[in-house]
Amino acid sequence: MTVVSARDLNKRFGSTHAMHNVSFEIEPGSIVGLIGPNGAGKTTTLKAILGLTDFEGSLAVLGRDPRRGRHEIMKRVCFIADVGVLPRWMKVSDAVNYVEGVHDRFNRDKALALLAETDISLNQRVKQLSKGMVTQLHLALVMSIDVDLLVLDEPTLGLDILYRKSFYELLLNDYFDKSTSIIISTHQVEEIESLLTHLLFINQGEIVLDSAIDALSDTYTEVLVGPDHLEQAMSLNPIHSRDVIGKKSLIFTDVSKASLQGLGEVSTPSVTDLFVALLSRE
Amino acid sequence: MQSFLILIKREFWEHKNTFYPYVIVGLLVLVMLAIFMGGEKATVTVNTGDTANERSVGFLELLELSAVSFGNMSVAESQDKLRFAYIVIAANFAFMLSFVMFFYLLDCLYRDRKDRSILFWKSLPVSDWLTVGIKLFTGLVCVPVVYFLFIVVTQFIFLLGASLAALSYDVSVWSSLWQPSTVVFGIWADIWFYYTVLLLWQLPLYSWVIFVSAFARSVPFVWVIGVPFAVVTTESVFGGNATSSWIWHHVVPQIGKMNLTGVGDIVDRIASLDFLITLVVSGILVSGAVWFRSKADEM
Repeated sequence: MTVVSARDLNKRFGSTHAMHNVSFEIEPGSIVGLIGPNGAGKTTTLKAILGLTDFEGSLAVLGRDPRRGRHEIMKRVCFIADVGVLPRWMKVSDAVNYVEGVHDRFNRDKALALLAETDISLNQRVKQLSKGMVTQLHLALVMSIDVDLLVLDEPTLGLDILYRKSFYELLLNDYFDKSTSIIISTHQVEEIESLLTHLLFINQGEIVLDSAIDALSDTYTEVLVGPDHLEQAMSLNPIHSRDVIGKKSLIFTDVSKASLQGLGEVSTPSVTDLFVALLSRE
Repeated sequence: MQSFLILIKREFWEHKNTFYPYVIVGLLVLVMLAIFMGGEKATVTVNTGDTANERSVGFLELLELSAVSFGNMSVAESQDKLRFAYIVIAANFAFMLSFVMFFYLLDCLYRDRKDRSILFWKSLPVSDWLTVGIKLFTGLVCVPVVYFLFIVVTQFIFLLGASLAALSYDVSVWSSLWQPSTVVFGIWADIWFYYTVLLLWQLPLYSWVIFVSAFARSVPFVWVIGVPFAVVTTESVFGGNATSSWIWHHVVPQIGKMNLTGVGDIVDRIASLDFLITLVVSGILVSGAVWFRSKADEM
């Protein structure tokens, strides 16, 4: 079953579109990167999926409309917002007890084992933990719940590089399997680009790219062109160009690789370059 | 059931500073003991049997004197005096409880929006109806039960204190203090009887408070007081007072004037139009709180 199916989602804050005809689907077992600049509508889209905000359009999460029965959806979906949403007064042990009490699919032993690998002790309060430790705690709780969809909204915002790296390593190695889907929003593309199976670029409330990572090479081609072929290459209407020491790196969309072969060094653009190409075109 | 308990526990974790103003409770207990053991004034009339004289005394001496005077009382006199003491203790906790309930209900759907932890709470499979229901249940039932236990314990501490003081004198602790203390059972029954009646009549008040807690984006205290105040003021400008007196009646119910002597009287009252309106208003306000909770987001 499709995990998330969104069709023509719309939401406005005053005159700005937080979501403008947003449509996409998330299949089981995929890791989707929802990528866009600050204020592009990432958080609004995720909140819509979680039933935390109102919107227009049709949206089914695991077959349910999140506007009704948020708590039913939350039995099978977990959510980590950017750091700091765990209640500061709560003790670590109480957080474990609470989640165990309200969530049927919580595995206490697993949570305690994950916490044992960190510097967090059970009788500390959340306010005594550093930002990185709060995220570790939240991730330990969430990873101990057997769910179908994990939603991460800028989960590593404000964390130092060591925590960020171990966060994604833990997520990918210990958590992810083919029965779970993950959707991660971020504006730091380079950090997650290697994990993703699927890309959603969003800008000013609109989806500007919706593609499997594997399919990118069918559509997008990057060619490193020297000065002698530049004019010929430019006539093929690249969507983006940037200077690379004496040459130009051009990104083409829907131009066959064969016809570009003679112009220079052909490759598939990195997610970061594609992000810059597609968003600066807007 | 397990989830029901953990949801109530969470309220006690989060609001323990609201529920137990420890210092105040401690002071209250001391003051209670001092006042009753000593009498209301530092100047007492001491009747030693032969001669009566009036003089100022210190606290410790007061303890002695009241212990002695207890020894000379009849059972009915001791009962009266003990009943007064037990009621004063209960009344003080009841007075504090009314504030605790008010401020807890005003805070309970507001605080987690303010500190952003609402995104965590809402990421768990607990429905908005259950959330609001648990908070009402905690405020209107669990916290009063805890305060009732405070009352019982304080009354017991008081009895122990009085007994210790009496031990040093030639007074029968059993017949002058413990036996007449059976009056306390009647007081406990009264506490729950009046609390239940009060609660039924104050339902619109508490429903309004929890509604504001769910709805206000800032300064909930101003909203909770301000709106009724504005209604009352507007009405008085136009010379009316129907709404005002309805509001007042449900903030400070005139239980004394209701002539409630038993369950039958309460049933009569409950079968009235006024009570039906009470229920409808409360129901609308609580549903409103749930609705705002379902829309609630971090602030």
